[in-house]
Amino acid sequence: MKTNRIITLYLTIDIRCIFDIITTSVLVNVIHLEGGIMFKLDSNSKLSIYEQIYSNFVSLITTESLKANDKMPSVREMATVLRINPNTIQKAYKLLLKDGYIFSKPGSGNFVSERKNYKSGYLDSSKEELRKSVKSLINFGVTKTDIYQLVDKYFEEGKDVNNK
Amino acid sequence: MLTISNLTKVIDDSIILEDISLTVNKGDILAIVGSNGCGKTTLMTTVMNIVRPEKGYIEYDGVKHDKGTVLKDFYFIQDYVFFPKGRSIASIVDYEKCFYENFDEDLLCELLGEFNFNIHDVPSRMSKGQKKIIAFIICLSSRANVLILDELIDGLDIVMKKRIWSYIIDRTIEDETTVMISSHDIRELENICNKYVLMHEGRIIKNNDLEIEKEGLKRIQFSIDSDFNALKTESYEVKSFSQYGSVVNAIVEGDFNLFEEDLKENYQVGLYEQFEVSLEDIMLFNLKEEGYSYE
Repeated sequence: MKTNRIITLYLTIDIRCIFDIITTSVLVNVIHLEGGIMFKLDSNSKLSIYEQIYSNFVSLITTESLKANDKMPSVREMATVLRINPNTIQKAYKLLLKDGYIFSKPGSGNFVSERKNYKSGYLDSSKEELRKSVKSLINFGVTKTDIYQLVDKYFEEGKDVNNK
Repeated sequence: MLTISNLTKVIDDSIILEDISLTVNKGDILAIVGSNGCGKTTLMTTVMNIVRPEKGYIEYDGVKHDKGTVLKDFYFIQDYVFFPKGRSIASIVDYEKCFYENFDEDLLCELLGEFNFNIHDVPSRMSKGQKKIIAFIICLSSRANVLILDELIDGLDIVMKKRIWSYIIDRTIEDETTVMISSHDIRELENICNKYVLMHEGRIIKNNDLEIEKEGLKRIQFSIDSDFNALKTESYEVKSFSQYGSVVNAIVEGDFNLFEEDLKENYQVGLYEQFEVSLEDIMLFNLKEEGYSYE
């Protein structure tokens, strides 16, 4: 009944798209991503498309798949590759700018910020996610001790990934 | 900017368009959706000056469409694409060039190559879908600033749909081209269009920016222990709902948090989830309000 429309964009496509621009400017790193990193948009999600684009980028940035000072794909490339109205992409980029994940250089586009410039917007929504997950675990009858153990386990896993 | 003002069209004593007013800005992709026979095609042919309205006017960049006005900024792809029998793309294009002084032949060749056509191919011998693609290639090559596309993507295969959308989006960014597109394939239009017009029986019943519309609406799914009575206050309204057993699926407009509070006060609520509304949802509940529904 509900068909999920999942648009999958391997960011490698983007690298090729933006390469032409990158070669003409000096200050940028070529976005270096191994295949398998996906840009997922689901039109039956609880989040609107611009929020999904925003959170996709936030996770690419916070996991350093996109590194500080990497050039962001232009609105035009994102819009034509994802087939999303440019205003929607613009809206997501504005939110990324507002929350400090990216910064814009007049005339040359948007770039990924240093970690110290991130604002807490996404942190709040991650906490909200945790709250919902805990609630749902309670509904399943998982005990407080078990939840603590799970949190400990996930914390150790997450720490390992960041230290690599 | 394209302005359509108080347009009324009567054919054989029946009102096909009734007091249609809307504005479309440069770079907009406007979806025209509605029930069968609601006047979508007539609206487009009227904008194209193919039929003259009884009342109202159409204005683009300060110039009103009048009898005999040549619309060199406009390109119209009809739902039923017609190409003269036995004529090649080259000879069709020679004819088109009489109307479009900026016709871009380099772009034409490039696009024909990208879609694996040859300039000596004969469109009248092709399938319906291929004809549509040829028409679209000529449309882009005309360098017109306003593209009126009547059910262009309906009946195309999934790959072609995606390719065509990319070209349309790119053109709206590059040249701020204005696009009006009608379709019954509502899901295809969903994330492409920034504006939509919903028509029914010759009237516009909704005309809004899609993002703004969606911000004020949510599809909410919840389970309760009794029959649901639609709540309505000054801050929110349940636009439509359906209940199967204990699960209710509702479209709510306004303050969702307040709705949630009130719901939990009045009912024993189990599950509660909010989803984005789709253009399909918007269309269905608005048409239902007009008495047009399938239930």
